[in-house]
Parts: sequence; structure tokens; C-alpha cells
Amino acid sequence: MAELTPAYLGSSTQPVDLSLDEVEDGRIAVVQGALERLGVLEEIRCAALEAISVLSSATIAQAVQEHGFERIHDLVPPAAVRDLLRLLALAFSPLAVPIVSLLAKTLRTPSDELFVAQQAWVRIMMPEDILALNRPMFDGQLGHAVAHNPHRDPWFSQSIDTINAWAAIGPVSHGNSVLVYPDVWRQPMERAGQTVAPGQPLGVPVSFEMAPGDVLFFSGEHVHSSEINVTTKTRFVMSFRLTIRPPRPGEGRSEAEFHRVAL
Amino acid sequence: MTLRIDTSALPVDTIRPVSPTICVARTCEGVFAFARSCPHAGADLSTGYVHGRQVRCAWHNLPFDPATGRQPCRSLADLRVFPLKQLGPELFELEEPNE
Repeated sequence: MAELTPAYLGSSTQPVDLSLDEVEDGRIAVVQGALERLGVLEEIRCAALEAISVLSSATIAQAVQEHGFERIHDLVPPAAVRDLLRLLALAFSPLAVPIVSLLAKTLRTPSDELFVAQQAWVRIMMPEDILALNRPMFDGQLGHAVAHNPHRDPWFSQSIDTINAWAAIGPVSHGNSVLVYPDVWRQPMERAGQTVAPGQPLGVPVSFEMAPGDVLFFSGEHVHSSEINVTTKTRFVMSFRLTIRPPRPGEGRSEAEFHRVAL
Repeated sequence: MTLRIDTSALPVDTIRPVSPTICVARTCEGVFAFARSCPHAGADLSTGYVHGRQVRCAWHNLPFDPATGRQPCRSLADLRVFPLKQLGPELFELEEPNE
């Protein structure tokens, strides 16, 4: 897709060589198998299946387990998908700090402390045609269920220089990924509210193929957006946020409190 | 209104606006004219990019066939395309609708 290809780092048998200060400085990298190595992937997948069982039925949860989270839109009623977003965010937000701390310990960090948002952002992007049939149910779920326009995170609620850890729980492919626009890194952008003003060149975005458990690291200062889901698969992702120095508030109300973590 | 478009400064794999509502792109298959407004979220396709035979909206990466305007979602309208009349090697003409 883009000429600039992201750095793919660390298969399950290779050491990870990624420094978070490079990420803060614009590097985009996927750490392959990161959640699996930490034993977190299975925990999240089991919790999601349990939540599906509670919100719909054990039979449906069993079917999702069999066919994969990418088939959520075929198997789980849309209202349950909406509730799943909320339920998983509630369940995993208290675990965000320990999960990100574990994750960070596998990477290089510039100091012996980190600041981690105590929130898990759950993102279940169904194929666009399915979403269109149920659109009112997902109104306001920008970036969670509905494609978000290009933006930088501090424009609405996040700390300046936040690093996103964007973790694939199900498979992510070109056609249902996140888009990052490296060509406009640190470039001044005109805004329309909390997103990029229309008509500005953004360059060619980068999208990502990720297996369950892979984690994409990128700075929230990168302009980024959601890719419209033109595939037949639901994209199921959980994201976390951190800073490598004391957080400095962006604009608007902060969505989450940042906790200092000693490494 | 008739628009005359000189494409001598339109390299392959580029898109350029030619009016407030229309842009042109040159792909490996030729020169195409289409509406600037993306049928998904209304982003300006003149800031999109060419990917192989497709034109893509930069905002959410929706791909289009610039010859037909087709895109992959049944729930979205196809992109409006405008036939180009070739007047010379790098000179085209189109009728811009009065809307």
C-alpha cells in the first residue's frame, strides 16, 4: 500500500528491539505475538467469550469461539455487540496498568518509569454494510464501532505525546485496519473541531496486517483514523495508552487518569 | 459548463482538482474524472491517492474504480464519474453538471 512500510518486530522467537522514545518520536512498529507471550491474549479472548455468553447466549459464544471473533457480526446480535464494547471496557480498564506495564517491560524505555492510562479502549468494527443496517445503535462510537475521521489524540482528550498500544484481539487486515499518516508527522494541520479540516493533503496512509496478539505502537501525535471496514470480517482490537514522561494534558476532558508505574 | 483540462502536468498515480466539485486522476489505465466528495464521509477525494488501478479516499481508505465509480460497500452510493472527451494527447473536455 504505502511506500513507507511499518517496522514489524519480534516474532515469538525473536527478541523485541523497540524503544518507546523512538515511538514517541514517530516510529511506527508492530510487535508480533506480544500479548500471547505475556499470556494476556487468552485472558482477553476468554473474557470476551464470557461477556458474549452473558449478553447473548452460551451457544453464540461457542460459535464465536469456533469461527473466530472476525465473525462476530454474523453471530452476535448488534445490540449485544454494542453492550460488549461497554462491558469489556469496564472489565479491562482496571487491568490496563498491569497489562501495559508487562508489555513495556519487554521493550526499551528511556527511564525506569512510565505513565499508563487506566483505561482499555475496546474497538469492534463490523463490516461497513452490517454497521450501516444498525447505525443508530452505534452513534457516537467513533473509533470504537464507527470509522473515526483523521485526528491527533491530544485534539480531544489525551495527553500530549501519548503512545498508543493498539492490540489485535482478532485478526486485522488491510481493509479494516487503523490508518496512520506518516507523511504529515509533526506538520501543522488545520482542524475542524477535533478532526483534520477537509481538503488538506495527508499523504498516503499506512495500514496494518496483524495477527491476534500483535501490538501496534504509534504516537497519538501521528494523524490517524479508522479504515472503513470493506472486508467481510469484524476487526476486534483493544488499545491502551501510555506516556514515557509525566502526562501533559491535551485539549478537552481527559478520558482516563494516568498512573505512574515504576519499571 | 464545459471544462477543458490540460493533463500534461498530471503524472501517473496523481489526483488533481479541476473545479470545486470535480477532480481528475491518472492511473496506469488512463485519465478519469470524478466527484471530489467521497460518498462515505464527504472527504475531498482530490487529497486521495492512486493505488494501482484504484483511487482511494485518504480519510478512511475507501477504494474506487475511477472508471465506473464502483466501491465495495452496498450501503454506500458509488462515486459519481464524468465522461471525458479527449481533444488532444493531453487535453480533455467534460461537461460539468449545473447543480
